[in-house]
Formats: sequence, C-alpha cells, structure tokens
Amino acid sequence: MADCKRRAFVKGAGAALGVTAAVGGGFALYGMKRAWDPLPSVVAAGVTEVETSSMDQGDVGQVEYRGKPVVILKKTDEMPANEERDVVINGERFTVNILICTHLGCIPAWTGEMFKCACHGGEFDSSGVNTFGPPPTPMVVPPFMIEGTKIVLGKEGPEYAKIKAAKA
Amino acid sequence: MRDIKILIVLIFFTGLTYYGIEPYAHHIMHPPVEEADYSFKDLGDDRSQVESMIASADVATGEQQVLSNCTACHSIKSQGQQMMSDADLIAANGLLPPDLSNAGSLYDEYFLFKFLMDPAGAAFNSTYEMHKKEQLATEKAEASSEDEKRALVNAHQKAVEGFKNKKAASFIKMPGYGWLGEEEVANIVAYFQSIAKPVEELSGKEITINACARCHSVDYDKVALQADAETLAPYLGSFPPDLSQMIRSKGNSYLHTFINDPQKHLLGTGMPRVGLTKEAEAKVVNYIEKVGDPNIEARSAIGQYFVLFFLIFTFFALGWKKNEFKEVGK
Amino acid sequence: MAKFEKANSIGEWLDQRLNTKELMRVGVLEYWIPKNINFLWSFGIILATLFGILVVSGIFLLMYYKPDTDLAFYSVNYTIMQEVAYGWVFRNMHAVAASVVFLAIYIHMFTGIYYGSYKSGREMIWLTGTILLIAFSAEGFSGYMLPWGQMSYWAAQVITNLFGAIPVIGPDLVIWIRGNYVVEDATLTRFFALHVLVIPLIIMGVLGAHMYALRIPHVNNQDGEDIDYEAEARKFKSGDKRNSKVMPFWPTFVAEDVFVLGAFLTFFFYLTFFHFGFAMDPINFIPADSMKTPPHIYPEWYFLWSYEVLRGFFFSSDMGLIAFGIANHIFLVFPWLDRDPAIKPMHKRPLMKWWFWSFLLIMIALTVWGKLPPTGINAYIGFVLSVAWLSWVLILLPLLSSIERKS
Repeated sequence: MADCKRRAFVKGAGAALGVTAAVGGGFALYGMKRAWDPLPSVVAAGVTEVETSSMDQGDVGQVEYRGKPVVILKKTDEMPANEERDVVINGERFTVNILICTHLGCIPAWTGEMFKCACHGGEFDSSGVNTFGPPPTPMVVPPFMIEGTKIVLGKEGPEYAKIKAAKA
Repeated sequence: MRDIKILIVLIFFTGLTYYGIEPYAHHIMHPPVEEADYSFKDLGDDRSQVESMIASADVATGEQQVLSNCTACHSIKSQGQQMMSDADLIAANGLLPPDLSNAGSLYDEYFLFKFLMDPAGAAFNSTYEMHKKEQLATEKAEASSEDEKRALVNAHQKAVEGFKNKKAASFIKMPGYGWLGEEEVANIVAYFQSIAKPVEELSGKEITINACARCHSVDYDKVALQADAETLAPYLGSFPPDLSQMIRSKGNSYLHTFINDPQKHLLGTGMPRVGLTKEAEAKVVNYIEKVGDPNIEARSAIGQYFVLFFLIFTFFALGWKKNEFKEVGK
Repeated sequence: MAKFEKANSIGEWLDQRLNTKELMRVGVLEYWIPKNINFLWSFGIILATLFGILVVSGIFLLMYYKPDTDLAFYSVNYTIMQEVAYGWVFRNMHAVAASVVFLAIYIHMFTGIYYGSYKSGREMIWLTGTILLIAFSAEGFSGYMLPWGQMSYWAAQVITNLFGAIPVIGPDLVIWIRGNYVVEDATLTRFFALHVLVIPLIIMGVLGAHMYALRIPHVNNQDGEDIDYEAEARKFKSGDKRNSKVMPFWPTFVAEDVFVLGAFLTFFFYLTFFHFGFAMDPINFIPADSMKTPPHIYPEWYFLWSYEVLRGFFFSSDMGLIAFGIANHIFLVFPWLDRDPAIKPMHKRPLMKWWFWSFLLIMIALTVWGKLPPTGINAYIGFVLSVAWLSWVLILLPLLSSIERKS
C-alpha cells in the first residue's frame, strides 16, 4: 500500500521534474531571445528636422533618420504628381522617402530622373514608386509632420495619416 | 595516370571559374580608361606658346605680382612669406590655401598658367565638359529617334551649365587672374619656378601634404586634415575620404588616372584636378602605397621561403608515399 | 579497480590508463581504406588542415581585433596589418584559407556526387557534410562582417534583410537579428561572438560526426565496387598485402594524404603571399558607410551561385527568395533525389554523365554571372541559368536517375 503510493509519488515527481525543467528551459530561451532585442537606447525614437525653404525645384537632399537615409526631392513641374505619396508644402511637391530599396535594402541613387539601385537593378520613379526590377513595393514614406516649411521626421502629422490611409 | 587526368580537369574548371569572377568580371565592372594625360591637352593647344612665354618671362616682375596678389592667402615659407598662421588661414578660408614654395615644380607649368587664368576652368570645367561630350556621343549612338537625341543634347547642355554655375558659386575661393593679362601670369609662373625645389628633393609626404591634405587626411601616417571639417563636406558635396587605405581599395593604376583627372572616373565629382606633374604624382602614389601597404617587400621575401619549404616538404612526402605504396603493391 | 603493474615505458603507462593500443588499432592501424582511389580522396585531410589554419590564425587575429564599429576597421587594417609583427601574415592566411576552404569543399562535394558516395548507406556522411557546408557558410558570412568595411556592411545589410521576407514575423525578425533597425554595433558584436565561438564549436561537433559517419559504411572507391572489408582486411593482416583490396589508414593512406596536402599547401601559401587579392576585396578597404552603397556589391565568390539564383528572378523577389531557399538546402536531400541506388561513378552512367558535367557548368556560369552587374542582357541570362539550375536539380536529377535504374 505504502509502496504503491510511493511509486505513484516517484512517477509524479518524475513528470513534475520534466515539466519544471521544460518551464525553466523556456524562461532561459526567452531570456536569450530578449538579450538580442534592440537596446532601449536604440528603441528611443529619434526625430530629424528638415528645412525645405532653401530648396529649389529639382534639388535633392538626404538626411539620416533612425540610422536610415531619407531622401527629400523637391519636384519640378515636369515630374508627375502623385496624390497618394507627395508631401505638399505651400503648393510645392516633395518626395520624402526612406531611401532604401524595398528589395534587399541597398541605397538607390538619384539619376536626375529616377532612383536606381546598383545592387539588383531596381528602379523607382520620382515619386519613389517601383517601376522596374525586383523591388516589390514603392519606397517607404517615413512618419512626418509639417511645421511651417519644416518637415519633422519621426512625428506623425495629419498629412502622414492621409498617406498612410491611402496606402491601406 | 588517372590522377594526372583528374588534376587537369580540376585545374581547368577552377581556372575557368577564377577567370570569370576575377579578371573578366572586374574588366566589365571597371572598364579600362585612357592613360593619364600629363600634358592637360583639354586646356587648349597653346602649350608650346605658353611654355616659351614662361621661359622668357621676367621673374622680378613675377615676384612683385605674387607679393601683391597671392600672399594675403598663401604662405611661401621658403621665402619667409607668411602673413597669417596656418590656423588663421584655415579659419579665414575654410581650408588651408597651399603653400607656394614649390608650386613651380610640383604643378605642371601649363596647367598652373591656365589655372591662374581661370581656376575653376582648369580644375573642373574643361575636363568635365570633355568627358560629358564623350558620354553624350555614346548615348546619342544608342538613342533611337531624333527627338530622343535632341532631348539628350539639351539635358547635357543643362548639366554642363549647372556644373559650371555650381563651381563658380561654391567651389574655388581662389579668384582668377586673367585680368592681369597672359604676360603677367607667365611672369608669376616663372617666379614660382625660380624659387621651387626640384621634385627629386621633395619627399612623397611633403608633396601629398601640399597637394592633397587640405581635403584629405592620412590617419595612418598622422597627416591631419588642413581644413575645417565642418565646412568641407558642404563645400565639396561629400566628405573627402582618408587616404590611408586608398592603395588597397583603388589600386595603383586607378590612383594615377584618378589624381590626374578625377572626372575621368567620377563625372561630376567635387574633387578638383590639381595639375601635378608626372614625377610629383608618382611620388604621391608611391607615398600612399607606403602608408597603406607597407609589407609589399616583406611579402615576397617571406613568401618565397614558405613556398620553398612546402616544395621540399612535398618532395619528401612523395618519397614516403612511394615507399608505403610499394609495400602494399599499389 | 583494475590492477596496475608497474609500467616499463610511457607508452605502456598510457596504455594501462587510456587503452591507447586498442585506440590506435581501431582508430588508424585497422581503419581500412580501399586501394582503388585517387588523390581526390585526400581532400578530407586538406579541409581538416585548412580548418586548423583558420583556427590558429584566427586566435592570433582575435588577440588584437576590436569588435566595435568605431575601432574594428582600424584594428584590422592598421593594428594587425601594420603594427603587429607578422600580423599581416596571419590575416592573409586567414582570408585566403577562408576562401580556399570553399574551393576544397566544393571539390570534395562534387567528388562525392561524381562517384555516388552519398547513397545506399552513406547518407549520413553526405548529410553531415552538407551541414558542414552550411556551417562554414555561416562562419564565412559572420567573419566577413568583422573588418567593418563597405562590403562587410552591405553584405550584412542585404543578407539580414532576406529574413524580412518570411511571412508575419519577417520585419521583426530582421530587427531582432540586427539588434537595431539597421546593421549597427550590436549586429557586429553578436556576429563576432557567433564567428569566434558558437559556429566553430558547431563545426567541430559536426566534423566529429562526419568522420564517425565514415567508419560504418566505409570509404567509397573509384568504381563503386562493394568490397568485403572483413575478408580483405583478413587477407591484408595475414601478410598478403599486395592482393588485398584495402590498405590501412596509417601509414599507407596517410602517406598519400601528406603528399597531396604538401602540394596543396604549396599552392595555398603561394596564394597567401603572392596572389591574395581574390580573397580580400578592394572595396572592403573602404570603411563602412551606412549612407552610401558601393556601385557594385557582390558576396564572396563561394556564395555567388546561390546569390545569382536569388537575383535571377529579377521580376519577383518572392520567387527569387523561394529559389534561394531551395538552393541553400537542396543538397541536404541529394541522396534521395538520385533515384538510382546503385553506387557507380558518373562515367559508368550513360545519362547522368551528361547531367553531371552540364550541372557543373551551370554552377560555374551562375558563379560568374552572380558577380557581373545585373543589367541589360545579364538579367535575362541570370534568369535562364537560375531556371536551368532548378530544373537540373529538381526535375532532371530524379528523372534521369530513375530511367537509369529501370534500364
């Protein structure tokens, strides 16, 4: 009788040990996973401001936003407007894109007419929309807010909400 | 003998792969360019006239012109001319205007003459226009319709104009001295030649500092940038790279043609042509090589012993192998 | 406890405690290798040696290398290359060995394919070998990041981005792998840890399994002949060494190995000192710049064929990624794609002979086009080659081999 109970306990203890070990292992894996997460200092969002008043039509500027290059192109009148993607300040149209090829993350170069990616030959038009090659989607428009003639990257304004809605 | 046959097959396919990914692919990615042109033909066809003008110029007048026009911004240390300290010159100009002690020997006389007449023209515009024309010719050849050709011509004209305007507005703070007239400019060049030490007496490092260090540092040899780093990038379009590893990333022949004419490789670049003579430029490249790859001699000196050692090793191993194989009748 | 008598020599002393005599007998003296082989059978020892060279030279590089995005480039190109005595020798050896080891791996692999050494009992040898190829690829990729030059940075950028295509978790996974939104310091330090400790440990483990896997089904021979090892070994031990079809690992096979190794190392050190450019790309001597992609980016030569399979589908990145995934893992199941269980060299297989040589040429062509700029006609050639590669492996290999089995 006692022996039987004892055996049941031993059996149960074995299973419990297994479960405990599995739970412990799970926490250990979680800890290891967390150790590879971006550090808080990295996550803390950066904000980049761009002044556009000094730009002429056809000028191209580049700024760094959260470690990524962002291109700002003041469109000329010949360049087609893109209602869903253009950032409009006082009637002037700007292309504001994270200048990273949506294929594999290279930085396309502005040729004067389009953005061309050296890595795999992808092409984007002056609005940042993919027109040739492997890129599956247009370049990303970063979150922005318009303050006067300034574009503030990293804050979300109503104009950005509109672009986001148009995309969805 | 099957082993020999297999070895030949192995070498063939390895060699084929190697040829494709190294010599062939690099030839495609970096098509060869024309040899460096140390006579700067694109600046005009009057080299011999200019040379004889300089040869018969008046050095004393040249000196007077230099003192009244150049020494406000340039030092001539060998002649004791230094109105401001280097630091003040950098503060005033954004970068250090080169010391002129040896300008007469480091820089080609014809280039120097043309540069004094029209700085941006000699440093940038003439060669930019020349290479842009070549580009237009190849693009026109590929164009299908007359409209397309016309559009290309327009685009090129616009580009050349834009480039010139940009250089006129932002680049060279050095004014042109064409208004002095060709004769006086020749006098100035003759004066520089009269005070310059010959290139053979100057070290590669000295030449590099004079010709390159106002935009480029050489960290591995502790050559500092002679400029205000903050203003340099907007001035040139992008921040000029350090030269320490250039010999490894660009290689000897690229450096020669690039320093001689940057537009040949990077059309539209903000780097000016400085007009070094062939001898002076060779010393610069040689210096960059010494700084970036100082083990060239040690490599072959040590390498030959490694190879020799393993040849001997292999020879004895062959003997041992033959011996062991005889034992088992293979 | 066993009784120990006083030992008369160091050998005996060791034998009492570690059973070294028996170990030697099983390990090398009576480890039987067929006589009917050629020098390609020595690529195992070449690979082991190259791995040894990588470990030793790597240890010396580790003593001066600084895994920090601000210091890495300088510590490699100035401290190691210019200040440390013979530092440049270690770096050149490390770089050249890392490149040449893949040449040896590919030769070793194609030897296996040619002689059918991956099937009918030898699957585990092939499987562990393929895992070694993947582990070496990971080691090569993580090591390439360490000098923190332009190619280091952009290779890391492009390759980590590949994980972004995985449905649902992709974008978060990319950030997790990098430890940042872009390739950055955290990425460098973790890949450093992988390169110098984690992956080498894995390689050593799998290397052990690979060698152990050889012992059970025995080494293949040039004609795929099924040798009765026990009978042949008895013959050899009885003194009839000449007529036995086998020879012992030590000393006979080792003598052959050392000779081939010597010849290979002569070639290796020639490359190390006189012709190392192919293993040290010029663009990687430009410090990493996250704001500027070099005009031409390409991986090291040993990744080019699979990179071209990825690029070949220039009109669809999803298809390219699927093909790339297949390319990187298909060798694992090679033994099961070859439907003919008979072990025969290719020259005795009328159809597969053509398959083998054309497959080799496709691999080489993919490698070359993987480096060429993907513009104009090259994009289409790449596409044709990628489709050819996939059909050669997924369709022709099973098809031709099953036709051969039936005939």
